[in-house]
Amino acid sequence: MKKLKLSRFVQVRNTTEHYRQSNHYKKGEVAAAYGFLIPALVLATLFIVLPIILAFTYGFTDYYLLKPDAKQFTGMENFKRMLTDDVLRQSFLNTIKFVVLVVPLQLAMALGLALIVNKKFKGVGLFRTAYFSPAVLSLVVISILWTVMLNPTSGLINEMLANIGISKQPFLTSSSQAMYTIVVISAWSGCGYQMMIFLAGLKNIDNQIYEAAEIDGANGLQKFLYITIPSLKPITMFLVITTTIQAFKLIVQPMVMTGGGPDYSTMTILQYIYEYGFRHRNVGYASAITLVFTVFLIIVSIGIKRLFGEEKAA
Amino acid sequence: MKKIFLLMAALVLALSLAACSSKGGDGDKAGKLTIWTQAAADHPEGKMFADRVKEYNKEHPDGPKVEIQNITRAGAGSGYIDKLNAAITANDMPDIFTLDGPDIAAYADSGVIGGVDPYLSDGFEKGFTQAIIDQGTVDGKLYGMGYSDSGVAIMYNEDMINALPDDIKALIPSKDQDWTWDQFVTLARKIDEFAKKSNDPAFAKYETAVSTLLTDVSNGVYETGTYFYTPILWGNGANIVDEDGLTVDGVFNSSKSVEALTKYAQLFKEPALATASESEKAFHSGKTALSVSGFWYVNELINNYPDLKFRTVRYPKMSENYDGLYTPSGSWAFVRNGQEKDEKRIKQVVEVMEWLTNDEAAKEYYHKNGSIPTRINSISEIDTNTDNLYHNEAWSVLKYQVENTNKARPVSPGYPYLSETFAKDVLLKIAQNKTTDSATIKKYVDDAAKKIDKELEKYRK
Repeated sequence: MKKLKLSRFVQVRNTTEHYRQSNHYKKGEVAAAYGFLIPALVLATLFIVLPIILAFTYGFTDYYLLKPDAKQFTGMENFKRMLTDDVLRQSFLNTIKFVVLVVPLQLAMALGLALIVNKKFKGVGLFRTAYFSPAVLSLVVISILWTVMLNPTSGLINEMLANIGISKQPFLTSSSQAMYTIVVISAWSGCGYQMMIFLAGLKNIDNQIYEAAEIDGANGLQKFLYITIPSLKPITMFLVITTTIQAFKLIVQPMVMTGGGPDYSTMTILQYIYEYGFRHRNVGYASAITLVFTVFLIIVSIGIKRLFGEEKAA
Repeated sequence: MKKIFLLMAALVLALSLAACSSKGGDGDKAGKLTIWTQAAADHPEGKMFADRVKEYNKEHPDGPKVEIQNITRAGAGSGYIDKLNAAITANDMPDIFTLDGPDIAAYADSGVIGGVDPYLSDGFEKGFTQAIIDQGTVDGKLYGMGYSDSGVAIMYNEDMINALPDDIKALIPSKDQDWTWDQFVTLARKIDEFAKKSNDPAFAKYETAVSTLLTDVSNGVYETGTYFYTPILWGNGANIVDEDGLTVDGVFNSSKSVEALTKYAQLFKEPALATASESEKAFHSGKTALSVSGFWYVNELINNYPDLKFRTVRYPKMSENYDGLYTPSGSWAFVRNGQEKDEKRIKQVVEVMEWLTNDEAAKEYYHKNGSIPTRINSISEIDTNTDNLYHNEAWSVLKYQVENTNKARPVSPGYPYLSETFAKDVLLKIAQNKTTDSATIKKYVDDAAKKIDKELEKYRK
């Protein structure tokens, strides 16, 4: 069986090499290939390449949304302004704070839930659906529901806290609590999806390894630390990268729940870009921030990949 | 790979050329005239426009056919405004569109909208109320023709007030009396003190004395804050920006502004009389005794909260001696595409705008949507002699304010930023931090003035 698979692989590889070297694709095949590529290329060009090019060019202008034909090249003016923009600095720090808090929390919650629903007990399917359900809800809906529940005066959460003797909390209306509240809500709403991925990973771990460890006298914690965690490492890497990138793009929750307040304590970079570009119509400045933030995200992505890559190599 | 990059580069070029070539296309516009509005087609406002346009087309069979497109807005106007801004970038604007009053200056400053006064029928402009003319006028030229005005008054819960001792009841003015912000806060304080000790069922759901709707500001609808509370500055002889629309330093952070805002802050002095996070529909559901209420509350309360006995009095003046205009006003208006250069077509466009905002239209809009008339001759249409006494009282107060004290919001090209910063960095901050000392409030307005000043720089060039 293995031999057969190997011979097929060699055959395919040889054929590909042959075509590559002799460039003997038939014209019809080439046309078909480009035919399949074009729809994706058009969409990628329209929604990825073109906006990046435009953001790059607009970032060096004073483009005002209501005077699109009057934009002028202003050199590094927008970038200089960024250095002295206190709200931008705060938005950047808020975004970093959110990422640093939400990624471990969300992944820990996802892993915890995956471990629960991986057990075999009656009604496990119901729990799985319940834990996953926030992932299919719109973030706007989730944000509105939580805003109502967290209302300091009449919200359900404060009523529940009052029943156990805890005084009313300001939550989203306090600059010291708002960001932490958003972190918890975001982790709650996002962990269901990651739970399913962790669950797939858990199902893939060979039960014989656990049985062998049990024979060797390993307890539950040891099995978790030395079998489950290492086995889930590739999945965890994937989830850390995707969750981090996603977390940097936080906008819906603060926009709906706090409007970036109180006192800019929940203003994120993406919301700030939106506010400047559309509400204040200063597309030039918003584009400059977008440009810098895109470069920052690329560096972070490469950094995470390298970090995990090096660990993998080691 | 190289070929794919080449293909993408070609696509970028082709798309750019396509975008350039589509600019300025006149298409088949000659036979029709397009209006964009932020009102949803199934909303009474959308329906009243549709009816009005239908009537126009019927009475002008030889003119261009007028078509109306409803681009529903969300929150403070997003959705509709995004589409409008995209149309401006693509030079593909409709002939007529709606804009919120305070936005008119920015669009006029950019040349996106055109003046209407040279094309108006004789005396038509003078038919608008002064606040509506002021709202639509930039540098002496009329750009916006308001189709609806607005108003804010103070409402109180009659059941709660009836439960109060006579000495507190006596603090409430009649519907025909002016009162001051200090008197308003004193009344709220007395009510709060009483409510916290009272077992009267009227106070069963009581949370705070006053509903301020500052929750809108927390939710990003900043304009509610500015619209509701700029009058506290006006009533003290102050403003958020100078008459030129571009100077804030020395105006926004003047001693009179700080004085007015310190008095506003007394609402949040512990124990707080109001909160920036009040319950949804707090006044409507009997959770507050008083409410700073928009005119739309009247229909909302009558139709959806029939058990609530609400009474209405005038918006309080900040300073007793102030005798200028000071009550909130203004709303959306019709404007015309400023890129249109064909005089004949501009005349047709303005003729349609007149049709949409004339005395008859204002009367129709009041009856169909409860819109406060923008025409002097149509204000009498406000009916204050119905079977519903609460309706009559509320509309008497609002009618008085429209005729006597309504003031347009500042006309400034940087208004969105100005409004947002005032609402977020001053009004909301005072409420959330429960700031009551004038030194800290002075710092808030100084910081805000500095930010706004920087933002307004580009309009001074």
